[in-house]
Amino acid sequence: MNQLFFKNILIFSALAIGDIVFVNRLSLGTFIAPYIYHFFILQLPVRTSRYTVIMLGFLTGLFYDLIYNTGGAHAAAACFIAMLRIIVLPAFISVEDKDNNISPGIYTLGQGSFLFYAFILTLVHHIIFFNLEIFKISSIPLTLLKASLSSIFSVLLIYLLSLLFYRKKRK
Amino acid sequence: MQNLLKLLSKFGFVLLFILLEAVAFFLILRRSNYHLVVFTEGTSEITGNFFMLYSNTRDYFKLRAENELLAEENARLRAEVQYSKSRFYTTKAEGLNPIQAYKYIPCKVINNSTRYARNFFTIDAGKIHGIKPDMGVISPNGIAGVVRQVSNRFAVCISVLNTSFAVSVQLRKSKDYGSLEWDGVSPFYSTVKYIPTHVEIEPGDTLETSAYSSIFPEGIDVGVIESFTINPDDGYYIIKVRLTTHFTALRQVYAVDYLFRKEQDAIEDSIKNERQ
Repeated sequence: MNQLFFKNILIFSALAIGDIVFVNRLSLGTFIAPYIYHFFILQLPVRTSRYTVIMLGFLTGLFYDLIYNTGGAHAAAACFIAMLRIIVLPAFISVEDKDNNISPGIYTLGQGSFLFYAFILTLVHHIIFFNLEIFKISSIPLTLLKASLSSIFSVLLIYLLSLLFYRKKRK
Repeated sequence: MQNLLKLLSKFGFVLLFILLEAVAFFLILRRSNYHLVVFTEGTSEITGNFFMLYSNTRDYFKLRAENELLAEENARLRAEVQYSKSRFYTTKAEGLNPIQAYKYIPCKVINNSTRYARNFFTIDAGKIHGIKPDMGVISPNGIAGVVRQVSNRFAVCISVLNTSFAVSVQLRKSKDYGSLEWDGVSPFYSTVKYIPTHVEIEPGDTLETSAYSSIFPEGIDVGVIESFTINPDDGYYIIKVRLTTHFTALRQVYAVDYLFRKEQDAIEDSIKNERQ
């Protein structure tokens, strides 16, 4: 329990530093604005209680709202994908995975399913966030394009980070 | 009753979800005071110090270009001294001497964004340097934003690249005025609305800040007309303007202190009731 707790604090801090210092400063044009912090919500262990997942989603978002001055847009988006995670995650894991309390990642879920899982949640997160940020109905087509392009980059970054920092577990 | 409790324990997390989403929306809707009052001082001080560290290490790599810009800026300011004094005069008995109306406080941008719909930047000067909310901020090339929140050593400013920013601008040629509002798309272009169509304009005309704003002095560069169309709904121009300030490389800026702000605000407030 304690080990899991510290591991997650470490992942949260590493993602915060990576997101604020590095990813947020990438200039990839007007339509590509990737984020990686929501990986924290994606990778929470599968047996984390539903209350905790939603609460952590909200608090993570709120933390980035305070840093990026975005009101509550990050909080709303992150809380929403926390809820979505509760709904979609059972489709990706087996009973055995649940017993082992795995953290969803490229090696635990398998590359294909993890990328699919990450892309769905990232896309929804970006669509909600960009729309709440600009808060204008007339720019929805534009934000949809921005969200799709950004999602591709975010998932790519998350994939690369997973390759770098996770090791394949021997069975 | 027992069934209700059972239901609650099973779907309580949905209620929690709805509650938290409501909180988030509440925070978005009161974005005009986007910092919670409690957090304002603390967070801007902490993030300010962090960005200060980051920008200090980055400074060295930009010194040369920065120096050139500074020299240019100094020259322009020297030429402008007369002009920034020219709006107010002492009594006639003293012989119509111009007195100083604007003071400039030099400061550096230590955090900046251009990729959001509502962009802000942080400057490294605050209360103790004389920065106050609603001061204009100009760069060597043109206007940059308006001070929003002030802590002791830092200030957060609304960038021109912010969809809720609007400022009164005028054509340098004819002095017809309109309103500069960003559409949230490109950091290089903005939009000017409400210039009537009987005014003759052409691409290449310069827009400057107007005399109607107590935030910026008159005549600061804003942008150059790129193209324009006529809005069929209200018959005003919609003008696409290339901004003169380079927001993707914003560094040296000056906060504008209008020394007669209090006096002007006081007399304008005194007739506010009559207007309604």
